[in-house]
Amino acid sequence: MTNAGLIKKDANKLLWRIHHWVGLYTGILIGILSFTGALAVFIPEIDSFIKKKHYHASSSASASGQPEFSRSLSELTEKYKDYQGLSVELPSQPGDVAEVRLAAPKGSGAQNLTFFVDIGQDRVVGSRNSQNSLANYMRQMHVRLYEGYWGRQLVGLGGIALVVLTVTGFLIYGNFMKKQVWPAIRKGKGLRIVLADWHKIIGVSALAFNLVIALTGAWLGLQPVLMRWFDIKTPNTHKTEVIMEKEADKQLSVNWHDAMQAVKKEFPDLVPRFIVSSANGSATITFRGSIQGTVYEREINTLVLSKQTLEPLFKYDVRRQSFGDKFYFVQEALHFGDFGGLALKILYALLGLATAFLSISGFAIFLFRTKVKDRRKTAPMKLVAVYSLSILLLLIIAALASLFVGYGQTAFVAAILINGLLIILVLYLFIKFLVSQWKNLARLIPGA
Amino acid sequence: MEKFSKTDPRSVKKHCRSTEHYYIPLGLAALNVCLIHFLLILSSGSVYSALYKSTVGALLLALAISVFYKRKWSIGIVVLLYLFVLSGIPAPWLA
Repeated sequence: MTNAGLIKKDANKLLWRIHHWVGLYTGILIGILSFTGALAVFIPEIDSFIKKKHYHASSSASASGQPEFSRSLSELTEKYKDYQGLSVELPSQPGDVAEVRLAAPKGSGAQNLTFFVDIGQDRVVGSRNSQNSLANYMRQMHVRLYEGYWGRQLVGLGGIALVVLTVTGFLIYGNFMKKQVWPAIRKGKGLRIVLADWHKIIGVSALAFNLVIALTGAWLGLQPVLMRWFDIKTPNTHKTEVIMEKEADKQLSVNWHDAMQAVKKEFPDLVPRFIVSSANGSATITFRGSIQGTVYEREINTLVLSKQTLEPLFKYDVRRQSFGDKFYFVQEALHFGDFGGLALKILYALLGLATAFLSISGFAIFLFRTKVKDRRKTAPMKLVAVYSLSILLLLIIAALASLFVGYGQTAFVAAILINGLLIILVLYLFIKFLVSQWKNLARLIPGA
Repeated sequence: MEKFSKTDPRSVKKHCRSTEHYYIPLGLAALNVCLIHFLLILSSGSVYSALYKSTVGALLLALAISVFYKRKWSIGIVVLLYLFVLSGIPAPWLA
């Protein structure tokens, strides 16, 4: 073999080793994130279903064609006078209710409140504790593994691991295909070969998707840390000037019908979804929303109006911003696939499940390959089933605990579990390293 | 010059390294992006013109057929055409 051939062979071996070890130690994390991500794309649809079926909260058609919520807001702010912040989330689909959120005073120990408003008849039709909802469970499990301290960063590291796996997987793909053709599955050679073939075919077929999900996931997970380290500022922040007392601001009455008309006039392409009424003395109303046909983070386009005059104070149209701003706001949309309707969400979910399959099949191939060497008696697929079902059971228990016991308590247990597992993993690797060093030493010094 | 007959097994196209290892992954990657792009413009109502939708739809179909039949030149050309559409240069003509 020529020198170049040897170098290529060594490089392939190294890439395979990286793929193997990164996959082995982060495969479970990537599997969980892929599975929860496939579910997380449907959060709005699942939440809408729960609101209708469990809370019996739905909206009738509005006579004016505009969402009506003025009376409901007046009633709620009258009843909860000491609230610190007021926001309204308008429904994304006809028949859904709007959600009005009242932030409890800081340090009071009271919980934030969420009310459902029928925007056709302008009346409050229910309420819930949003923290203990299934939607929040799915979001928190995917975004931070339910671990509030550094769960988000762990997810970001999972994203980096998926980047490494996708790139190394592609680089060794050719070497592993040799005389094989895409998308043929070799038959009659056992389950290990069948799984390996599916692993390669699905891996290369979803390569671009995995790379995008991995890169955006790594950024979203590590975003708070990276922004702090590199002093990156959120592009669309706008600081409003305080012009009156907090209580006077809260007392200002707003004609919401006129305010919505002002939005239509000032920012015609904006589809408002999120409205924040100030309670800090700035006397403003902030409208956030998306623009149809664009691939940017939801509710990132902003229009701030004066509560008193309904004159625009600040406008942020992402289409008119620099490449840097656009690049910043494209990440979340590309990661969650919420810019192309239900069909795109289904595609994202299927591709997400394909990534979960890669994680499971990779683990199964490893178990098949090491069965003889490790003198393991349990069948590889039995082990895979035990691991997969245990994780699924854990996810279900966490969901039930979150719904029926509470978010705080579940997050506390999850933090102990995740950090405990991390400590065990680090100790295991450390001991394994010491043992291998000891064995090497014993080989060099026969009497030792 | 030796010519292969139609029945000669050597004339049957078998494993082509460059197609299998490079062109198909390239075509599949473009297919991933194009499919997502097509679903975006389909769900965006009147934001995109019928001509733009048809162009992206036709490229999606062409990509799928090229990958299915494993024609490396056709994969290369369709990918280049799609990149050209994606660059936004022909957007004024497709509006």
